[in-house]
Amino acid sequence: MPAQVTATMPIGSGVSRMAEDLSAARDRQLVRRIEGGDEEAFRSLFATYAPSAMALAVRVVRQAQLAEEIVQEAFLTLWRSPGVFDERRGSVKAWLMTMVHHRAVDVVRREEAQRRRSDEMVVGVREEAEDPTDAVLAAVAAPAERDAVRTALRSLPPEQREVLELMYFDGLSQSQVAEKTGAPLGTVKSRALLGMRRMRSVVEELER
Amino acid sequence: MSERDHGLIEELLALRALGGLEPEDDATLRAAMAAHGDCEECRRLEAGFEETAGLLGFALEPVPVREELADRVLERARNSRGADERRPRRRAALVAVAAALVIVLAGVASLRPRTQPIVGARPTQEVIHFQGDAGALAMVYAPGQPGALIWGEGLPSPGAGKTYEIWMITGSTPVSTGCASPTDGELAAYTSADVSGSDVMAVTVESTSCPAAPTTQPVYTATLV
Repeated sequence: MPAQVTATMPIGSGVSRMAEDLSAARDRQLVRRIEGGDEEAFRSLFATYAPSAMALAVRVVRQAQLAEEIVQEAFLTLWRSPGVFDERRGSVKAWLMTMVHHRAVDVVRREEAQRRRSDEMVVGVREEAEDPTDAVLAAVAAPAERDAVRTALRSLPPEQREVLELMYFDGLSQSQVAEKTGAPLGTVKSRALLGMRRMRSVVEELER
Repeated sequence: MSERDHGLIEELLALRALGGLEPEDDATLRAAMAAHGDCEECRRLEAGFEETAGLLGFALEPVPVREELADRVLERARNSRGADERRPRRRAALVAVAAALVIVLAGVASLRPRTQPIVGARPTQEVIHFQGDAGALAMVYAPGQPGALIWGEGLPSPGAGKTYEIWMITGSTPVSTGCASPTDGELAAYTSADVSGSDVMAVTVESTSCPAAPTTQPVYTATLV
C-alpha cells in the first residue's frame, strides 16, 4: 500500500521555501542537462527566466531591441558555457540575471546611452515599472521571492533605496549617483553598502 | 579566524555587485583582495552580494518575451558553428600556422634529433576553436603534455587599460593561464600550462593587472574534447 502523504504543513513561508528549494534544484539539474546539449532543458530555463531577464535589460538600457539582444547573448553564454556556472557561488537565476545586468550596464556605459535615452517608454514596459518597488502588487501569482525582494526594497530607508535603484536599475556609476543625488561620494558608498547588507540578509533569510 | 579588516572590501564588493564601481575603485578592490590571498570571508562576501544583486532584478514585473527567441539563440549557436565550418581556408591557415608553431616549440623543447620525422608529433595534437562574436581564435595542444598555443585573428581590441585573460576551467574553477592583447587584431600566445585536464577554455576582458579570478563574462569559450 503506498504511503499516504498528509498535508499537515501550514500554508506559508515553509511551503514557499520548499518551493524555492525545489526550484533551485530544478534549475541546477537543467544546467547540468544543458552541459549535455539538451535543448529542452535550455528552453525550460529560458521560458522561466527570460521574461525577468528582459525586464531587467529593458529597465537598464531602455531600448527593447537592445535589451532583447542582451538577453539573447546571456542565454547564448548559458548554452555555450554552462560549466561556467558555479553552484557554490549562488543560484542559477541570480547568475543569469547577473550576466544580463553586467551586459546591460556595459552597454549603457560604453555607448553613453543614458545621455541619449528617450523619455518614451518602450513598448511592452508599463509605466509602473519605472519604480520597481511600486510595480504591480496585484499579481497574485507572483512568486513569494518577488514579493519578498520588493518588500525588502521598500523597507529600506529612502536614501539607501534610491542609491540601489539608481545604480542597479538605471546603470549609474557611484560618481553619477553622487552627482544626481547631490550626496558626497563617500555617503553614496556607505548607503550602497548598508542597503546591500539589508537586502542580503533578506536573501539569506529566503534561502534558509 | 581571520583578524583582517574586510570593511573596504565589503563596501567595494557591494558597489561592484550593483554595477556602480568605477575603474579606480575596481583596481583598489582587486589589490585589497589580492592582499588577502586565499580569503574565505572575501569569497563569502562576494558570493553573497552577487546573489543579492542577481535577485534584485526579480523585483521588476516580467516583460513577455517572444516565444521564438529561444529558437533564435539556439539558431545563433548553430550558425556560429556553421560559420566556422564555412571558413575552411581561414581556419586551415590558422590551424596550419598554430600547428607549425607548436611543432617548432615541441621540437625545441625536446631537442629531437634532426633525423626524427617531426610529423611524428602531430597525431597527438588537438586543435579547438573558440566560440565568440568576432574574429577567429583557436588553440593547439598536446593532451597530457604541458604547453598550448593560442592563436587568433580579426579580434577586437579589449579596450584601453584592458587585456584578454585566458582561463582553464575544470568543473567550475577557473585558473588563469595568463593575459595577452592582440596587435592589429592578431594574437599569438603560448602557455606552459597543461590545459588538457580542463573542461572549458574561456577568454575574458580584464584589466591589465591580470586578476587572479575572472571579473567579467567570457567573450570566447571552447569546450575541450
